[in-house]
Amino acid sequence: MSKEDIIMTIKSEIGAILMQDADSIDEETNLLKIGVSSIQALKIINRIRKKLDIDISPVAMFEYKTISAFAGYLYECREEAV
Amino acid sequence: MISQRNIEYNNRVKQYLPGGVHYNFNLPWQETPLHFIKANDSRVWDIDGNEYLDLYARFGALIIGHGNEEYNECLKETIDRILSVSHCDIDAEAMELVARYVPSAEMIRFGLSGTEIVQNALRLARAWTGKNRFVRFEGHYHGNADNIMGGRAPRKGEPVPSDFIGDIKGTAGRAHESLESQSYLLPWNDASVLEELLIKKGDEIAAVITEPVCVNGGSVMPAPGYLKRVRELCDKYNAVLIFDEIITGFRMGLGGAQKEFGVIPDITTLGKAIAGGGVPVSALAGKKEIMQLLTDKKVIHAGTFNGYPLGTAAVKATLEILSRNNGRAIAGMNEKIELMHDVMRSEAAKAGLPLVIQGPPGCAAFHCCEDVIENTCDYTYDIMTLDIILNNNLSKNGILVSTFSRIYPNISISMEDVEWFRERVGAALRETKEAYDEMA
Repeated sequence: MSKEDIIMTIKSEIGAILMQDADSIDEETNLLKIGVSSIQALKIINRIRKKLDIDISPVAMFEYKTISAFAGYLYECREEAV
Repeated sequence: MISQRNIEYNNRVKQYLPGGVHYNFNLPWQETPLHFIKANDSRVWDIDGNEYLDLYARFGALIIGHGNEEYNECLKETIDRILSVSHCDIDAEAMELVARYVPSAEMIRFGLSGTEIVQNALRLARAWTGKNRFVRFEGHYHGNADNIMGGRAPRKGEPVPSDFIGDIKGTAGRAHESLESQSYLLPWNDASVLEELLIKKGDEIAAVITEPVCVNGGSVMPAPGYLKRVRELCDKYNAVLIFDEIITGFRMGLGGAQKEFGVIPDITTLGKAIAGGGVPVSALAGKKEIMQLLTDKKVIHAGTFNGYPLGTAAVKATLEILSRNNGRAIAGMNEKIELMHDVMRSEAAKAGLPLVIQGPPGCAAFHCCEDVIENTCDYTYDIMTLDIILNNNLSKNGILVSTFSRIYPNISISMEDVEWFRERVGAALRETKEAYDEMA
């Protein structure tokens, strides 16, 4: 899976929870400002964890400012796991 | 549901209080705590008058319950009679009671917080052995000092902890190298891993610190014989064994986990419930020969409020209340909370939500999974996520539990509380099942 695919996965999961079109979500959006509650954030992370088959902390997403930066981290994690 | 009034009040507080909360870990989303206005027995009321069953109990400290007349009168009498001196006429009785019930407590010093008293225990261990590092375990929590909170160690090579992305107990601003240079971080419940490390590094390990039941890691019980083997290894390699009984102390009975398992540490740290939960007290209790370092003033243990009368009076009152009638108060508390555990298991089965409740009755935890968690490393993020969601749903339905899924009863808990729980827990479990299905 490429970094672009991961970005799409994240956008799609955020979109599903916020009931928005994934394409309307900017990958440079500040994750702390997308307006998700703690429970919504947990649901997003859990679904990403399952889709990418990667064990990430529920708070890892917030260590990165943008969807793009978070995707870069997930991409590296997957590469390391291979 | 958090009301608009509560949100507005919290916004007012937030102008001065960072995040609007008195404490935080690395859970970066916004949270609005409930603000309470009154409490009685096992119930608390928020600023909108909503009533909750309090199984949060101030992170487990409040074993005595809200509004315990005997306890409160003792504190009031102390306030009126002797508010603030360094040594008072309650010291001897309080110490004698701790020593009577806690097997390792040959000598005792009081402090205020668990964080502080753990650091003093480590200092004593270093002074006693002349060695520097200590061993700690994955999933355990021993306070929020730089050298002991969070981190992760590699499974291969030297188990030196370091910060990692997404660490709930990770913090910016940690003193450089404090995490890496002072401890080794090992998986718990595996004595062979500890033995392997002690064989290689025993000459630099001053102490092994463990929660005897890992309540902070999900109320995980020690494997049969594990603590005994840790004791033997500490003796063999001249390492001080420290039991962090800040939660298990008194919540597992007056003798704590050490009495329950028959394994006596060199030093015990106590806190939270030791003073009932109304005022802060922690305690450093240990073998006379090690505590002698304090008598000889080789090791410093200082603190403006150490042994303050109100705290000492609270310890005395708590132990008197808990020990009366052969410990009837704790036994009664455990009976009621176990009834609630049974109700919760049964309602979870009806809702189709996987659920286990594990650990000692006084400090058990629920987990949204099929099997009991037998090691702290098995408490996965998947399970933790569902536990947090269930915690949130319980709160919405009038039941407060502690982070993330700990169930802390107090001695005032009643059959009416069991009924309150029975009437509300099903809804919380069904709502969590919906989230569980959404995330599948």
